[in-house]
Amino acid sequence: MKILLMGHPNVGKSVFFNRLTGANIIESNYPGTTVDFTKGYMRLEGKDIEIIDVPGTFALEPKDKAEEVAVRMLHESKGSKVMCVIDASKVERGLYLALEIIEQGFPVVIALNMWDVAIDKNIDIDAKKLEQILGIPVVSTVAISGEGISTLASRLKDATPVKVEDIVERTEGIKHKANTPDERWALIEGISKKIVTFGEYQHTLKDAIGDFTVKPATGIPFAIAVLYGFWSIFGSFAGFFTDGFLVKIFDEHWLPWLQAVFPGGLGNWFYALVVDVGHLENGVLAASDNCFESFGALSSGLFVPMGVVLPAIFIFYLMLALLEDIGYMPRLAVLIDTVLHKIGLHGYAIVPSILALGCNVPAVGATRILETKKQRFMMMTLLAVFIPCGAQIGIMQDVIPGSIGFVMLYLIAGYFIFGYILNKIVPGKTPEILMDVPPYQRPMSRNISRKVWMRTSGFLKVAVPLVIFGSLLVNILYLAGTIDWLGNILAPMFEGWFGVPRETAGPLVAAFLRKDLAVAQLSAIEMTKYQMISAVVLVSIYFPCIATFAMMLREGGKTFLGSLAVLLVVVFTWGGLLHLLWKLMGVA
Amino acid sequence: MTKRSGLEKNNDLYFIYFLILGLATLAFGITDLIVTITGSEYTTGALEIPNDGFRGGWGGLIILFAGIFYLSGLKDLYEIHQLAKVVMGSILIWIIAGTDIFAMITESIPGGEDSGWFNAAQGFWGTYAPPYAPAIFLLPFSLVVIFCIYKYYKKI
Repeated sequence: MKILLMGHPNVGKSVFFNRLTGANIIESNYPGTTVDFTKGYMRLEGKDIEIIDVPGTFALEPKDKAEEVAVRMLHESKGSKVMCVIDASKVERGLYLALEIIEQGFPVVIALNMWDVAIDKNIDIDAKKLEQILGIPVVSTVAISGEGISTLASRLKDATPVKVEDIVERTEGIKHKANTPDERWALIEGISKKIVTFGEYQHTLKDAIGDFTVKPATGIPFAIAVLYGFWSIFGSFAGFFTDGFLVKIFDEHWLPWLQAVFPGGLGNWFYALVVDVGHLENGVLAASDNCFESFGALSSGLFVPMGVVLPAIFIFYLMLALLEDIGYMPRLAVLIDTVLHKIGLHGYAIVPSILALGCNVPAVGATRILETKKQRFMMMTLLAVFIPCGAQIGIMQDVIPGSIGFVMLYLIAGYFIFGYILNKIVPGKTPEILMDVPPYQRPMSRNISRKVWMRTSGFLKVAVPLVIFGSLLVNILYLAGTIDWLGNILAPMFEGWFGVPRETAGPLVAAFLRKDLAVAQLSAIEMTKYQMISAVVLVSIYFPCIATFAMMLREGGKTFLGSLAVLLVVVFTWGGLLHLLWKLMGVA
Repeated sequence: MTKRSGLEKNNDLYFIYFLILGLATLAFGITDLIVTITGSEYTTGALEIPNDGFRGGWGGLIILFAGIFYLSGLKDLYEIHQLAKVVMGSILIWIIAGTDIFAMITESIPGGEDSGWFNAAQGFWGTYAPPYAPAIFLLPFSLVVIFCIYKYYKKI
C-alpha cells in the first residue's frame, strides 16, 4: 500500500512524515519547505507501507512548479490512499482540496492538524460529525507534539473511496452537485455550518505582536533588531570557536605535527600538495606558520571547513531554525514583499535568499515556490551571483573582519540593481500571491536540533571533500605553473579592469570548487585593503561553486545559459565599478 | 460581565514608569547615534557609548526604536495592542543587551593568542567589569514588562 501525504503548504505535512516514518526531513513554518516529493516507510500491523511527502498544493489546478509536482504525483499514484492534512483553524480551505481528491476516487483519511491552534482560537470542530458527512476517517491531530498520530495511522485501513454525491446527500440542505468550484464551495459552506462553531475570540499578546511585526512602521524596526541579533550572535559564536580555540589547535598543534611527521619536507612536491607549499623569505623557501597560508590538502584543506566554516555554519543554521520555528520567517516575507515587488519578485523570495546565506544549493531548489519561469530564473541568478554562502561569510569574518559590512552592502545593492534591470528586460509575468502568516509558536527543541544536524552534516559531507580536492587541484596548478600562466594572460583584466593582483587567478580557480577556500587563499596574497575587498567581491560574484552550478543546471534547464550570461555581465560591470570607486576615492 | 485586565488598576503608575523608561531609552539611542556619527568617544563612570558602526550605529538605532515603542504604547497599557508595543520595546532592548552579554561571555573564556587555552581568572572577571553599554543599564528596567504581562492576564 502507498500513502500520499497531501495538503496545503505549511499545514505540517513534513512533521507528519517525520513522525510516521521516523525519517529526518526539514520541517519549517513557512510554505515551500518541501518542493519535491520525499519517500519513506512506515511499519503498520507488520507491513511496510510506503509514504510520500508531496509538496503542498492549494488545489488540483497547479500554479507553480511545486504544485505541479504534487498534482503529477497524485495522477501517477492510482490505487494509493491519501492522508489529507488540513489546518483545523482554517478547515473550510482545506476541505476544498480534500473534496477534489475524493472526487478523483482516492480513499482519503483527513487529519485535522493544528487542533491546539483551533482550540486557542476558540474554534470548535465536530470531527465525528465531519466523519459522518464525508464518510471517511477524520482524526484531530497536533503533529508537532505527536498527538493523534497513532490514531491516524490506525484509521488508514478504514479509508475507502466515497462518492461526492453521497456527501452532498448527507449534507442536508444542499440541492446541487459539486462539479464546479462554486458548487464545491457551496457544499463546503454547508458542511462547515454543521461542524464548525466559532466562539468569542480575544486577541492575545502573541496575536498583537504578530500583527505589529508585519506592519512596516513597527515591523521594520523589529526586523532590523532581529537581523542585528542574528549577525551579532553569528560573529561572537564563530569568533569564540575559531579564534579562541580552533586556530590554536590547527596552527600550534596540527600544522607543526604534520610538518614534523610527514615525509618529504619543504620543496618536495607531494609534501607541498598535502602539507605545506611554503613561502619565500629573502629568497629562501620557509615553512608556513598558519593553516591559512600553508595551502596543503590536510592543513588548509581541513582547517577551512572544520576550523573556520563549521562554527559559522552551525550557528547560522541554529539561528535560522529558531526564526523558522518561532514563525518569524513568513512575517519577514510579508514585510519585504513590497520591496521585492519592485524587482519582480515577491515576499517569499526571501526564503531562497536567506537559505542561500547558509548554502546556495538548497536555495536554488527553494526557488520552486516562485510561480513563473521568469521569477525562478531571476531568483536563481541573483542568489548565485550576489548571495555569499555561510561558509564564505565565515571565512570573510576572519580575512576581512572590518570590511565585511561594506562587502555585504555592495552585494545587496547589486542584488537589487540587477534584479530591477532583469525585471525590466526578462519577458514573463510576476504575479501577486497571497501569503499565509501562521501564528507565533514556541520552537520545539527536537525539531531545531534535527534541522541543525541535518543541514550541518549535509554541509560537511559536501564541503570537506570539495575543499580538500580544491586545495590539491590549486596546488597542482601552482606547481605546474598553470596559475602563473593564467595570471599572466589575464593580468590586463585583473590589474587593469578589476584592480586586483594577477595572483588572484589561483583563488578564482578554487572558487569554482569552494568559495570559502578561495577567500582563504586570497589571504595569502599580498595586496592592499581595497584590493582585498575587490578580490572578495570578485570571488562572490564570479561563477557559482560547482555544487550550485549543478543544481542550477538541474533546476533551470536551458535558462541556465541565461544565468551564465547575466553572471558574465555582472562580473565585469559590478567588479569593474568597484575598482572605479576606489580610483575616485584615490585609494586604487 | 467581562473581567478587566489587572493592568487597569494602577494604570497611571505604569504610564509614569514607561514614560520615564521610554524617554531614557530614547535619549540613549540618540546619544548612541550622535557619538557614532561624530566618531567621538564617550565614557563616563560605568557607562560607555559604543561608537562603531555596528553597535553604535545599528545598535543605537534599535535603542532609539525601543524608546519610540515604549512611548507609543504607554497610554492605556491594559489594551492588548498598547501592551504589545511596550513588550516589543523590551524585546528590542533584550536583543541588544543579550548580544552584548553573549559577546562578553565568548570573549571572557578563551585565553587569547599568546596565552593558554583558557583565560586566567583575572582576565575572565575583567571582561565583565564596567563600563557597560546603555542597553545593559536598560535591561533590568525593561524586565518590568514581564510583570505587566502577568498582571494583564491576571483579571480583576
